[in-house]
Amino acid sequence: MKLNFVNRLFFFILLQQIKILSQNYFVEQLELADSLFKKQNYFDAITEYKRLLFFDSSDSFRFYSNYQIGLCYKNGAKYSDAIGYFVLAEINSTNNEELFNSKIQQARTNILRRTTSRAEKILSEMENDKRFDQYKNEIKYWRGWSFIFSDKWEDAHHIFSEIGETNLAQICLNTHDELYSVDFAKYSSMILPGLGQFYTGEYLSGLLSLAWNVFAGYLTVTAFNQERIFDGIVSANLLWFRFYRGNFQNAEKFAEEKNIRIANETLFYLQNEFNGIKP
Amino acid sequence: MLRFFLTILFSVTLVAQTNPLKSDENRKLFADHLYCQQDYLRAAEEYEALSKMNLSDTILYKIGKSYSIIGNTHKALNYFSSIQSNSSLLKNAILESARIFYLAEDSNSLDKLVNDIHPSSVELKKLLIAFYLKINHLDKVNNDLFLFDDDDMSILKSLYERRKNPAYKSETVAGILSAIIPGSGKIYTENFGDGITAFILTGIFSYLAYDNFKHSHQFRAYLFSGLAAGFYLGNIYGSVASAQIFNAKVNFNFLNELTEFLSSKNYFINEIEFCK
Amino acid sequence: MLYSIRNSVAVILFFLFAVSSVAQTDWQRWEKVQPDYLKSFYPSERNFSYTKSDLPYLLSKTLINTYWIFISDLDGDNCPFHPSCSSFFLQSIEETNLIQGTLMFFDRFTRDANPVNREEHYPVYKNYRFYDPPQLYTLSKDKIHLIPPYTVVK
Repeated sequence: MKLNFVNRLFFFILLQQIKILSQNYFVEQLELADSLFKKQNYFDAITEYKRLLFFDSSDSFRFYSNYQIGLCYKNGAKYSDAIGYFVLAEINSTNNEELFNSKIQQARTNILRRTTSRAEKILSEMENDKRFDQYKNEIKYWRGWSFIFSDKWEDAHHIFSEIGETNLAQICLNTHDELYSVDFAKYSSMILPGLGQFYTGEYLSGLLSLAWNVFAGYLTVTAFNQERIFDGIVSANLLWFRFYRGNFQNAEKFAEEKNIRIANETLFYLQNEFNGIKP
Repeated sequence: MLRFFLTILFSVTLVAQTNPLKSDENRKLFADHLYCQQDYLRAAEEYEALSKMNLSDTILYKIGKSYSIIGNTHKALNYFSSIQSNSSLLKNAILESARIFYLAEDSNSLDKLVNDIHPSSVELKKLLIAFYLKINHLDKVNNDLFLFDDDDMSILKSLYERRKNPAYKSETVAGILSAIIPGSGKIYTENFGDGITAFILTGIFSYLAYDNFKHSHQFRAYLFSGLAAGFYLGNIYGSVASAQIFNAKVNFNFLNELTEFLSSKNYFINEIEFCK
Repeated sequence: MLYSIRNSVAVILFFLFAVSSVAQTDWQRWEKVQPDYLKSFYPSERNFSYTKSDLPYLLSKTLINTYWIFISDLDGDNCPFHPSCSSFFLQSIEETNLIQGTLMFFDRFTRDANPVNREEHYPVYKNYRFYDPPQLYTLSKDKIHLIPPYTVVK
């Protein structure tokens, strides 16, 4: 039977509709997954993205689905899983922008997971990669955050100043200035017992340490002077040595604990009140 | 005109359909994929979204297994018990339920399952023996239960003997030994280092006390006597406590071995490979 | 070329971990969580408060508080165990009575003096000290919850 023009047009329209609608099913699935993501229903969003990945034989949604699953895990604080999916997104990326986004999310998630050495390695790789020349400032921004999370406040200050992030640079500089020097606390206590404790503001502990060291020293010296060698050795060992070692251990401990408190104050501000882009 | 209306009707029908990715057939495929990826909660929820008539015994079993693995034992038991009695998966479903009862120490349910509902199952009998060994109800382990002499039964028999006559150390003996020779009670309970240290400490302070009494240093003599007495009495007390800890260790190791044996046998369940 | 080899290795490694780690995270439903930037640390705060009111306890606690302030806080971390010997003494008195607590303390001091093979007998507390609670030594068997050596107690 010869098909006249109208019949041919009829079948053509039908075929087009079938083709459009089957493609539309994937788009519909994508929109469902995206809406769950927007509503912050991450667990179910992952299910829908996985469904799309499973049925999408043309691989056109592969990068986007893997990337979005990574973001879902990141928002649920499941950082190791997030990184895994960002790596998959990186492998399935089709252009430089997608590649950059997947790699920078890997770096950011590593920062949140506190594996900052891994984050710095990724960022160094990206800095040396000619394809990402236009993103140099952004890479430096995240390098600064990596320094913040690895307690390198001075380095963070320098790098934020370089890219013009004056607010963050000032915060990092202030924190760096407030921190105590753990080495100074320890070694000053070795020279004069109690000095390190005074430096960190623990005056009572410093005074008591000084008193014990003086007392134990006096007992030991008088014992040796009076030829009571055994007594001298006992008081040197059980008293003087213990209190001397305890003194500089305490100085070090106080400096470290105070530093953690100072860093945490800044980190609390950054987590809750800072309005810029965060990892 | 007719063609025009047919086109409209066809388009409307196509649009009104649900997304075929969520059809029962596709849901099942996706759920199988999730199951094989060990994403069990999602797999179970996908299977549960299928229409009731498509829930074959295999699917019911897989849902039960998924819930059992993720720890939702209540739902797992429900699904295992809904498997038809003529299904090939029934035996596995029963054994999986038995495993859940074993791990939850649900004595009544396990008893009922083994003795009332399926009295002829050898695997269930073995699990029941292991369970009585675990909760130490040895009076319920009688010779009827040791049906035949395969490897599993002989291992269970040896475990039964060990549970009946455990290699305990006596607390009284430990205390008396330490009273006679300080530290010997701890050596008896295999704490060799602690025993020697107790002996040395008691010895040193006793010698210091004696020495100071000899030289009439009264205060120091009484101080060291007090310390020596403290260490002596403390050593007796510690020996009794260490015998108790030794016996607790014997029980602990026994239960570990029992669990290892059952895990190596997979609780007598012949695992079905759904994922090739 | 090197980049693609590295990528393939990354894929293989990911799939090796994916099945066990990714799947297990999702065996329970989870919700969005705010990230926590703060560094965790465990300040060694002494608890100077009194939990009981009988006389032997009050006397012992006062003695121990004085010891903590004037001696123990100043001579460094010397006890290889958690709880420390003085805390052990206090907890023993809380669990039992003064006399039994004292005997438990002498026994603990003996164990402290034995420097050999600790890792074969005691579990580890937060990777720092050996875990040795007084509940193991009260002579009531139902209080003994055995933790095997080499395990880490949180």
